[in-house]
Amino acid sequence: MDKKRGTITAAQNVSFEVSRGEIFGLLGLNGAGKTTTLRMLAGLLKPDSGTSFICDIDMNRLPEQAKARLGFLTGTTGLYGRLKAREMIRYFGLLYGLAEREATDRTEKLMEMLGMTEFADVKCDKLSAGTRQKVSIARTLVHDPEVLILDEPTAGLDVISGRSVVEFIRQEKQKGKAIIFSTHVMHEAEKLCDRIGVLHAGRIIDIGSPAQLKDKTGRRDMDDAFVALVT
Amino acid sequence: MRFIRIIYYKELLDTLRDRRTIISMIVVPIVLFPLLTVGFSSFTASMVEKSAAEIHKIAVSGRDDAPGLYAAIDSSEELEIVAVDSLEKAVNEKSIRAALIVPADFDARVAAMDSAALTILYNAAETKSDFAADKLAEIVGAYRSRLLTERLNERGLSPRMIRPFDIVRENVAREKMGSFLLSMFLPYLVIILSMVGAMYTAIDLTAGEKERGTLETILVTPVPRWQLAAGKFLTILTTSVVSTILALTSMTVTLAFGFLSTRSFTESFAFEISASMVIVVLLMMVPTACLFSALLMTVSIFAKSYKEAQSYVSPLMFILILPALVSFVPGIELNVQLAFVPLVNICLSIREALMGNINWLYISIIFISTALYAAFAIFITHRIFQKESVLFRT
Repeated sequence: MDKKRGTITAAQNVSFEVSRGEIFGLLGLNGAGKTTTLRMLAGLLKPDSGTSFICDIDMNRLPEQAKARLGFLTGTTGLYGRLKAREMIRYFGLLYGLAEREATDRTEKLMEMLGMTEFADVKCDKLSAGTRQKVSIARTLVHDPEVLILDEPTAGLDVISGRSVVEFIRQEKQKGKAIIFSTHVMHEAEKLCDRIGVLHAGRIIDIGSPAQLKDKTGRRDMDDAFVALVT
Repeated sequence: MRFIRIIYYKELLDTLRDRRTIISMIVVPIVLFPLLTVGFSSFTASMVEKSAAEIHKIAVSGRDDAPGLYAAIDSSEELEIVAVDSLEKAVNEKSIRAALIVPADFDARVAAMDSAALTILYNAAETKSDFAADKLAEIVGAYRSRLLTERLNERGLSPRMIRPFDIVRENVAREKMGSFLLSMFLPYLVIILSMVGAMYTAIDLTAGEKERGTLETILVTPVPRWQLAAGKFLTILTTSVVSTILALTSMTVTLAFGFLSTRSFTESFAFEISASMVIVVLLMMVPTACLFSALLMTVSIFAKSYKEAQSYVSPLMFILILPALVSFVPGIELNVQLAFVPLVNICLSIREALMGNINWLYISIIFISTALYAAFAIFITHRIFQKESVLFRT
C-alpha cells in the first residue's frame, strides 16, 4: 500500500500478512507511518495504490463486508459521554449489523466477561479511565470480529488499565483472532508479538520474530535492536 | 436504510440528554420568552400609565395679562402651576415640565378682535414634558374655541359658518395592528430560530465527535458514510424544527394572552392567526431548516474542535441574518424574481401570509426552490463526508 499525505509519502510499499492466532506488531517512531498504515487497513483512509484483504475480502471493493470482520481500537478513541456503558456497546453492535436481539445478548455477555456489569447503567462520562477502556474494548469486540487492529491501544493508560488491554490481546489471540497492533513501547511488543514489522519513514525495513530481529542485529535488548535497525 | 434509523435514534437520545440543548431548545423558548415579553410589556405599560396619570408642574408667564386663560389652566387637575425665575432654564432642569409664555397685550388684543401668539416651551427629548405640553396645548385650544364661539355669537353667527365641512378618516384595513407587527417580526424569527436551533446540534454531531475522538470509531463500522451523514442531518433538522415550533408557539400564545395583564395593550396589539397562515409558516420553515441544517453541518465538519466550529459558524450566521432583515423593510412586495431569492423569499411570503395575503403559486415556487437549495446543500454535505482530508484533518 502507498499513501501520500500532502507532499509527504506517509506509507510506501507497506506490505505484510497476518495469520489467525497471530499477533503482528508494527513498531516505529512517532511519525513513522503506523497510524496511516493501520487506518488504511481499517478502511478509514483509501490507499493511493494497493489494498488490504480482510479474511480474503478486498477492502477497496467490498469495504462494508471487510469492515464487518474488523475490530478497531486506538488509545485515543473516545466514548459518547451521555450514553450509558450498556447503550454504547449495544449501539456499536447495531452499527456492525447485529440484529436488535443479538446486539442486546452480545452486550450483556461482554459486560459480564469484562466484569463491568455494575457500571452498565452509568453514563460513559462518569466512568473511570480503566472502565472507559473496558467499554472501548467491549465496543471493539461486540460483533466478534476475526481481525483486530489496535493502534497504540495502551497509549495514555495507567499500568492497571494498560495491563487489562494486554490481557485482552492475549485472550483474543487464544481465540484464533488475527491481531495487528502498533506501539512504540519496545518491551510491550517483545512480550506480545509473534512477529514484528519495523516501520521507518513510511517503509517496512524488516519483519521477523523478536528473537530473529535481535539475532540479526546482534543485540540482546529489543530497544537496542530497534535503534540498530532504524539508524 | 436501517442504519439511518439507528443513528438518528441514538443521536436524538444523546442530544436530549445534553443539558445545554435542553436549555436552548426547550427552556429558553417556553419559559424565558413569555416571561420577558410579559415582563417588558407590563413594565412599559405601567410606565406609560404612570406618566399619564402624573400631575405635571408647569409655569405661566404674564398671568395678570390674561386672567381668563390663567383660570382655565388653573382649573385643570392634571397640571399644577408653580412660580419659577427662568422658564427655559426650569424646563431644561426638569423642575417644571412645560411653560406657557403669554404676551403682555394678550387680553387687549383679544378684546380688540385681533390675534395674539402664545408660546409653549417643552423638552421634546423627555416623554413627561411632551405629555405636559400636549395637555397645556389642549387646554389653551379649548379656551381659544370658547373665545371663538363667543365672538361668533356676538355677531349672531353659527359656529358652522366657519366650518363648511368635516373630514372623517376611516381605517378599513382587515388586518389589525398586531398582525402588522407580527408580520414584521415573525419572518425574521423563523430564520433566526431555525438557524440557532440547528447550530448547536450541528456542531456537537460533527466537530464535537472529532473533539471527543468518536468519529473514527463510527467510520470503521460498516455503516455507509451517506447513511451516517443522513442520520446526523435528520437529527439536526429535528432539533431545528422542534425548537422553532416551540418558540413560535410560545411567542404567539404569549402575545395572545400575555397582554391581558395590561388591558390597554391587548386591544392595540390584537392579531388573527388562521390555519392557512400556520400551514404557510410550516411550509416555509421546513425547507429553510433543511438548508440551515445542511449548511451548518458542512461548515462544522471542517472544524477539529467545538471552538473552531463556533468561529466558523458565527460569521456565517451574520451573513445569513442579512437577508432576513428584509422583513423589517416596508414596501417590498413578493414578485416572481424575489420568489427565487433564498431566505428573502421565505421572509416576504411569511410576512404577506400574516397580513392575510396568501398566494399559493408563490408559496409553491418558494417551497420548491428552497427545497432545491437545501438538496444542493445536502449533496455538498454528503460529498464532504466522503472526503478523508476533512474527516481526518490534522
